[in-house]
Amino acid sequence: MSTHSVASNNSGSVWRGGVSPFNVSYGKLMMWIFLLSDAFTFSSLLIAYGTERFSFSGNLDTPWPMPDMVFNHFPFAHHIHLPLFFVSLMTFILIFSSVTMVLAVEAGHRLSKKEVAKYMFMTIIGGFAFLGCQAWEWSNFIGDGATLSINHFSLTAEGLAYADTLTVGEKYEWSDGLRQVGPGVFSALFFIVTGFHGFHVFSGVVLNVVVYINVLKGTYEKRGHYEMVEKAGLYWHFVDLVWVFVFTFFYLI
Amino acid sequence: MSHATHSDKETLMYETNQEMLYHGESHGTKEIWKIFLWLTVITVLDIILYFALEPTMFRNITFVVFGIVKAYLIVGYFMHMKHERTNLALSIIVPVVFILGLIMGLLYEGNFWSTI
Repeated sequence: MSTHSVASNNSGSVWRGGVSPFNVSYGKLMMWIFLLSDAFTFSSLLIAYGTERFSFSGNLDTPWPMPDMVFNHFPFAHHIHLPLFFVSLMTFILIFSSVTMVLAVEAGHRLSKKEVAKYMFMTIIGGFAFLGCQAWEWSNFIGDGATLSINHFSLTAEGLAYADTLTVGEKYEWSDGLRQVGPGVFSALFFIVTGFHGFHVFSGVVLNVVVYINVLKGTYEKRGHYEMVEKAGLYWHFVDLVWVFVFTFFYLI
Repeated sequence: MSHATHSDKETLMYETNQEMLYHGESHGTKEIWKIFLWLTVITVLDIILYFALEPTMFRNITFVVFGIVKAYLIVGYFMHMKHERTNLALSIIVPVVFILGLIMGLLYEGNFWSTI
């Protein structure tokens, strides 16, 4: 495709109309602006998590729970201590679906309808796989007794000692006196932040399905370019980007 | 590439301009797989450090730095920010400074709450 140049009476400055100073289309620029605003929203939520967590540091009456001892489930491994494994799997699913999205954009540049459709389909599957994992994660958390305002995952002194002796892959059992009621905001923030992110993933999947149908229908082939795939891609990568930080703050730290 | 069916000359110019702003050249898939490899390596390092190190401030800072590196790779390469014009990149990245302000302010505040 040719470089951009539109006949106009614009002399010298790119800011005097007739051309895009950012050298991107309106749709793509607005997607970036939207993503910036969304980044602010997610930052506020994650910073709220940080503030609450800091405010409970050193608090032994109502300690912050150890993520290790809350999110240690893995499918078909009942009551076996496997922290981080399931959420790592979710991370890899999302990274890989980001890769297939980028491959769809690249195929779009070559105007290869068949390949765009193939990679878009793979991206949608990745999105559904992630959503399924998150539903499983939530159902475990709720099944263990969490509600929007109740968290009884905080460890007592005996609980901390028990957590220390527990090794990865070992069978564990909760008995009385190991856990206690802690800050309810832990559960609330977990549900709100992962829920808000999950809702973004869901919207992204819907967006990807719409684009996928249009690819199959040949809408973009007729249009002569696959920029819509790239715009949906920007949103999808952003969802992946947010997950990087949710993963870091909720599970790693 | 043009599919001029509009009669209004101005609409034509606007639409044409928008389409011409889309640079459709392919950079190949080699870079994509390279970035995927890096993202995987960093995530695997995250997992290794999680089990190998005691939870200290050093470990936490390492995780945050790794997170920022991953963010850089995703935004720069997957979202093509590195190939965009500098003024677009700055317009999006510079406002993130406000987030740093909120982090510093509220973490300080949270720390204060823990002392009362």
